[in-house]
Amino acid sequence: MGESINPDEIKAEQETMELTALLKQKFPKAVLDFHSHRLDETVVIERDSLEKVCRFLRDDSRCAFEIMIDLTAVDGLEINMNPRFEMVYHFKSLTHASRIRIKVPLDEDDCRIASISNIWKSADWYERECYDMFGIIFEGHPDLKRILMYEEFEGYPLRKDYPIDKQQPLMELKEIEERHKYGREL
Amino acid sequence: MDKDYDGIITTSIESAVNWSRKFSLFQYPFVTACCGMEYMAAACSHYDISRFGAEIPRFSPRQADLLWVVGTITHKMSPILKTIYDQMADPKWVIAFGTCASTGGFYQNYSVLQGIDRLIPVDLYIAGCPPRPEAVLDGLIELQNNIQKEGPKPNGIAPSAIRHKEQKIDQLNRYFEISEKEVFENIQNPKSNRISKPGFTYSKDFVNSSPHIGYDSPELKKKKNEIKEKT
Repeated sequence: MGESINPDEIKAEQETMELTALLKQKFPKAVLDFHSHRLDETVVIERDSLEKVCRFLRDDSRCAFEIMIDLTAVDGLEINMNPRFEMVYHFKSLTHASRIRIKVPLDEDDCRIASISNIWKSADWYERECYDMFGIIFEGHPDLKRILMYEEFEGYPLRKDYPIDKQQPLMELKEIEERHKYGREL
Repeated sequence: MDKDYDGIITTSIESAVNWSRKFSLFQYPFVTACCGMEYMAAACSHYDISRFGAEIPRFSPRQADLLWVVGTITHKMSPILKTIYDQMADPKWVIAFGTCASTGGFYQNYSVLQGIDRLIPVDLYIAGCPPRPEAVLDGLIELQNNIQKEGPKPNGIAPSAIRHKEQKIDQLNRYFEISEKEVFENIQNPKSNRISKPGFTYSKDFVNSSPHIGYDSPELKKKKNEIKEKT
């Protein structure tokens, strides 16, 4: 890429840094860490103050994040992440044309986090999916149940300790051994 | 039909009934995934599945006698598929369309049923990911031949379903071993109008290198033969 400096980019960078500074100033205890890469701001937040921070991000005119783009979890079992889980939230502001990523570390023994579905309504089904796949419990969610898998399903399939080819059929199936034998032959 | 004397045809009743059955297949397309595109292509005017008497899709299992399972079937979907199969009136036939329906395809994980033959009896497997319309029509003709030869059984399960293991291997082998010459000729004189420029032909190198046109490269063929010889 070229060496020339785009004044707009500098301005945008300053603005996003302002956002982090604002959060740090507003919630000095909640912000655990932050970094910025190519204008994408990431702020790591402590679990208990997530709801407060989210409400501030949506309502304050300097932030005005109207849209919740994405919400998911990361299981860091195989890369020895400590604590094991991490929630990832992406928000977008149409007013300021900016984005922010919020991360929240979660302990394996206490997989609970406040639901943000009362702040952004679109978070409802995302949280259900996250509960379905990772078993993270969203406190205050209106109807927390499985969304993709069936109710008889045991365990959480996207956790790294779920066996990769373990299946839980709903119906009675036949000749499993035979099928696998032929599958390998061809 | 056996003989023809002055406009009089003598035949057995089974043969006549099977003949009428094989040319009036009412189909129920159970379409769940991308294979549906190829099913639509086979059903539309370019390939025109109605030439074989399998023209009208009935979206009620009560009115259908050929179930096309087109696409990936998950465990969550399996009770629905089973119900639909049970709702169909005898005689009935089932086609597993594409790799996912036949074996689960590349989805070997927590959610996908590893081949619908673990759930319902299957009469015919069409290999391919997804299969080309030619393969679909070939499969349909194969099924018609089976119907003519064997017909339905009183218990609703066609004999071909009972010996479907061997059939499956035969079919998969067959589709992966179309001779290079045959494929090459087909590409040089395409029957569809997919190649838009007149006079355009693929080079032989392209035919050898492209994995998408329905036959194995010489190296892959060698490997497969080696594996076969070992087992």
